[in-house]
Amino acid sequence: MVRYAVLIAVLILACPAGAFSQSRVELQFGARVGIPFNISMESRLTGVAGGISSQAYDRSPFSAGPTFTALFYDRVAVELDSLYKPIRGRGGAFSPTLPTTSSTHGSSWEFPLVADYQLVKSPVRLYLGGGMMAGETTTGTTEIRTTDTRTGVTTVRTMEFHAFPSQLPAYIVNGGLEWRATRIVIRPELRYTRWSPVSQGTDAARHRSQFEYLIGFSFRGYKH
Amino acid sequence: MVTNTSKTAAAIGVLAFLALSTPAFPQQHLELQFGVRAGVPLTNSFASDTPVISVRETVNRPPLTVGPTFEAVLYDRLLIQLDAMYRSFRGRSQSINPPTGATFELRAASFEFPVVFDYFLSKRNWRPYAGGGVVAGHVVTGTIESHLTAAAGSVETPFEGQFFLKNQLPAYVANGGLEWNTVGLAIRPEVRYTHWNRKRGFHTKQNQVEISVGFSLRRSR
Repeated sequence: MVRYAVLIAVLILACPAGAFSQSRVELQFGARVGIPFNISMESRLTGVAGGISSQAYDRSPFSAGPTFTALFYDRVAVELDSLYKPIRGRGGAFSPTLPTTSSTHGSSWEFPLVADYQLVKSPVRLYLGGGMMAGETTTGTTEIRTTDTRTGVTTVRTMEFHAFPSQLPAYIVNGGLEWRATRIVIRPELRYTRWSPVSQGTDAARHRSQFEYLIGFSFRGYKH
Repeated sequence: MVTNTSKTAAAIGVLAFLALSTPAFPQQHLELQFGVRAGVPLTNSFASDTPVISVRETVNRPPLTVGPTFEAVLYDRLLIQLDAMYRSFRGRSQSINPPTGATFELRAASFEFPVVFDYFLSKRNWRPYAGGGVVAGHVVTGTIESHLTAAAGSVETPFEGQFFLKNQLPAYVANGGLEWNTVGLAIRPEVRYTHWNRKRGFHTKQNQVEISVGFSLRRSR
């Protein structure tokens, strides 16, 4: 992953510098909040398991997290985010003697790395870009309740929740507007993320195509 | 070894290089804005035309629509709007034959992405506009959950699944409204009509009318 980031950075920095007149590098840091347009997780169970069990995940109501941006020559922004999304899911497994229900409470962290080019240098700027997911992780717990219909006894187990297997690499395309004030930058944008398919059946996979509205608020820091 | 990942990384880099090699195009006639739009549907947004033989399918009317907006004003005459309008989907599929069958609750979020081109009829601070466009995308995802009446002494396992509404594009938009420009804000109340393609089962209603107000941040050019 580091190799690809370096490759992109080298090509960007190799661009003709004559087109630029502002500071070479400006560092910004802040926060991003967003609204996912569709579900983040889904079940991809196949075979017998898919036939006897069911699983559903709610759409995450929001995403949020810190963001760090390096703006090169007042034109190219390289942004690394750390976006949290809550995960809520429910499931059931059919059995005449041991019916099971489950409830999942978890969290997802995504670490997108995107490079954006500012197409329009008006008071509100337009930018487009893309990138890759530098990392992702899911954590949480799944509570499983099993009732023995012969005895009426209900047992409750708690398991760790993890999305499995990895769906990296994931690619990102984004575009938005930038409102720049003296000390703060506001960046509303639309972002599309395409995750790789899962290589095996799982009850916790990331939905492959994800759309999201995000708005970032960053402080303008170091300039060189 | 050349992987898909490295090819993509190289492509991103080359595209960035080409883009950076060209000067930015002049912007003196362009104003970019962003904000939020909220509205009230005057018609039902969703419905089902499944014949009431074994199941009855109903959908609640969403109380409001709301979402972020992006706008571009060209030559102070042409307005291009891209919205991402959310509305809730709350549906129910109830077994009526047999009456003791399962009831399914459907909960989803609908996001529409209309792209609308409007023409300002004057250049004053209060000015009417009218135009039309298309719905560039429509995403409806959510969950479906069964509710069963368990017999005495038994336990019923609910069915849990994802719910996706079928695509009904192309959809066309016609709108008209007023714009009030202040120094930092543009306020745009408008009436919007959307005509959707037809589908069976749970679907987006073919003809929809809503009133909404947009608030967009603007800066002087």
